[in-house]
Amino acid sequence: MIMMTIIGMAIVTAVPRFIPAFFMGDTTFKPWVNRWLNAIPFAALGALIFPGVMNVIEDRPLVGVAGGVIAAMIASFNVNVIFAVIGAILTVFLLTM
Amino acid sequence: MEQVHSTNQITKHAVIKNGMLAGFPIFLGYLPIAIAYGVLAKESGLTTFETTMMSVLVFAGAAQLMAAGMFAAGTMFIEIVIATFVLNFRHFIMSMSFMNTTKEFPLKWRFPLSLGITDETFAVSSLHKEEANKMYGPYFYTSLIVVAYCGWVFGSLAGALLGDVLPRALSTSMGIALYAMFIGLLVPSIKKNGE
Repeated sequence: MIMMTIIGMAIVTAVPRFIPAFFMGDTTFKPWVNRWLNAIPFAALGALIFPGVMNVIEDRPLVGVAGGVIAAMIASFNVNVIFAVIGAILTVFLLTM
Repeated sequence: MEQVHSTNQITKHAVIKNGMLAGFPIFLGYLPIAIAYGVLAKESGLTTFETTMMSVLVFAGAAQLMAAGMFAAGTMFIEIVIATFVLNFRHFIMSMSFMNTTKEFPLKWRFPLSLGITDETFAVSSLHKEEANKMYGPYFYTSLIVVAYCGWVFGSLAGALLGDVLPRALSTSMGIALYAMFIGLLVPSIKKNGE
């Protein structure tokens, strides 16, 4: 029964993911639709960062925010994003020691 | 949109390497979450095989953590599936956006790529959308997704088999990895728009 549930979950997750692969290919959209589609990644990123970053360490939202600020500072030097990630991990690690 | 035939040869190998590099921060970010999921799923009564297969087949972090909790509470099959559908439907919108940037790819690439869409792979892929117009573009996104997928599947397996393998201080610190990656992706594109 657990395996059946997992397969059911896999189907309802996969179908919405692949349907656009079939209909987005040959449709051309009005410019405003394209603008909307291009804005989705930024909207998603904003929603993914806040407020989640404040819950990295329970009850200490400032630790997460500090890690985020360090990441933003490193990223502003246009280096590979991995350095921002490592810098943020180190910051949180040191602040929670 | 025409493919870029640059004079300095873009090799398939280099594109795959770049895709893997772009996917590596996701790999790092997924590991602690996947391990936590593996531990939770085992505690909820799933076998190691079931725990790992859910990661292989579903590949959606939030939904899997929710399902593990629901299994523990003894929830019905149909309720778990419906909740998963509702929670993961956001990937439909993300897939529309991603399939719009990769519409030049043949369907044999777009179909498997669409199955690899998560919040994280979508965000990173979208901020590298110039790769879609380069030679071997599909290889870039495929290697990015495969690296992230490996982190998710192996992390779940490790969590199920070994329990909390990461030292507590490290796994809580690694909790910031995905946020740092999102910020690290967002900052350069904001700077670019400001110029």
